[in-house]
Amino acid sequence: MAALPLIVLAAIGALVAAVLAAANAVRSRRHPARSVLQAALLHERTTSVVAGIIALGLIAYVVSPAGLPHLTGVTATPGLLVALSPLVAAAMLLVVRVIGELAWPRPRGAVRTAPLARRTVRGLGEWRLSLYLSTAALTAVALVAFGATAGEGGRRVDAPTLLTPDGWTTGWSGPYPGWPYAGPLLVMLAVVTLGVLGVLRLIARRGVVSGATAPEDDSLRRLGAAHVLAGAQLLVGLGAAAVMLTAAVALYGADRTGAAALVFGVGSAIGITSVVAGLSVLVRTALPATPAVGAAPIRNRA
Amino acid sequence: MRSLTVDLDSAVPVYEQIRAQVAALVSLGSLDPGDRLPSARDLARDLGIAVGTVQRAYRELEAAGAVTSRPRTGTVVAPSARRRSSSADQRSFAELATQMVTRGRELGLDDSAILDVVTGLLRQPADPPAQR
Repeated sequence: MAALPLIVLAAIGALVAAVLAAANAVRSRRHPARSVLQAALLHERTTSVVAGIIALGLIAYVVSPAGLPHLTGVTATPGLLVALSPLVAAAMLLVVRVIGELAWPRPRGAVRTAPLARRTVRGLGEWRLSLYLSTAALTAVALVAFGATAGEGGRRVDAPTLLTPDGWTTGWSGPYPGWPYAGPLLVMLAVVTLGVLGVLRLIARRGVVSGATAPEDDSLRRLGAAHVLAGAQLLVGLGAAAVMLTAAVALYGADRTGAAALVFGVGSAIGITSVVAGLSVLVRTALPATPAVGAAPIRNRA
Repeated sequence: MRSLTVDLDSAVPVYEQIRAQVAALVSLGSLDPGDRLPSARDLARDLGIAVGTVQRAYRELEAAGAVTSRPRTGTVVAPSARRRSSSADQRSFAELATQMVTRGRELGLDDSAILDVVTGLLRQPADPPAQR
């Protein structure tokens, strides 16, 4: 039952993605680009689609009736693999992106053009990098808080101790993402965040696309960076939201209503923001609308 | 966005092509003092050439006072005070050169012919030739 909302969300996401991708394809046909740019865009989009399919395929397996029961009991900490799966999917997405970035052809031809400007990870990442890093930082803080507030065993949260006519009473609620979950999640979050920064660095450092002007090459890099960050945002954000909503339910069950409302609010905000930010990359304009004024002419000679 | 173009088949060495284009951009004011140039490694990767080629171009630009190298910042366009001529003088000269090129094209000279004239003038002694 817990997987049902995720399946519905994934189905809605897939539908929205299909509609936006179709709109993008129509727009591309109305504004045809040069063959070299079409090839570059094909490379970029193929890499992104393969990375997305692999990541979503893993998530779909994890939440499927075949995968969920099997994965829940495979580790000593029940459900740890399920909790880690969005971050594992993000890591797989990054691996595909690395392969795609390394597969760009090296500069060819006797006449070669390069932009005379420094490219930085921060510049390429634009607002998406800030959003991703904020999400990762907020998630890390929440995981540390969950680890610190978990009860005995780290898989439950204790209710406040109350004085009743029968004496002192207390209780607990779970599952709660204490250290048995928060520790591995923190490690994996750090790995994915370092991976995102590494892939962005790779995008910034790769050679210029042969035949592309400086603005076109810059747009291709920014598109690649946006795809990486959108995928990471979607997976890390939804994973963080799922963990926080689980914690919120446990806190509510332990009569900690205020904390439950706070965690629910933060988790929902992260989840919704991540879905919107992640899917918005599908409507991103791939290339500059008009050729750059003063751009150096390209004369490729084999 | 400013860019560099090099021709690997040209008789002019690649480092000289890079040096000349960066120097021209500085002279014309397209690059302002303090503007950071890409690292030699990045520019070499973009152009698909050896790092040493770009490093040599940067060294010659630094020797001419067009750029400076700073340990943490990298290679940046030098302030006008460090150059052999002021920015105003360079812009003024660029305007003259623009007029000269325009006039040459009006007369039907192609770019290589204009370049030959300028190169020939630069190879003459600095003193003005004697009047006949």
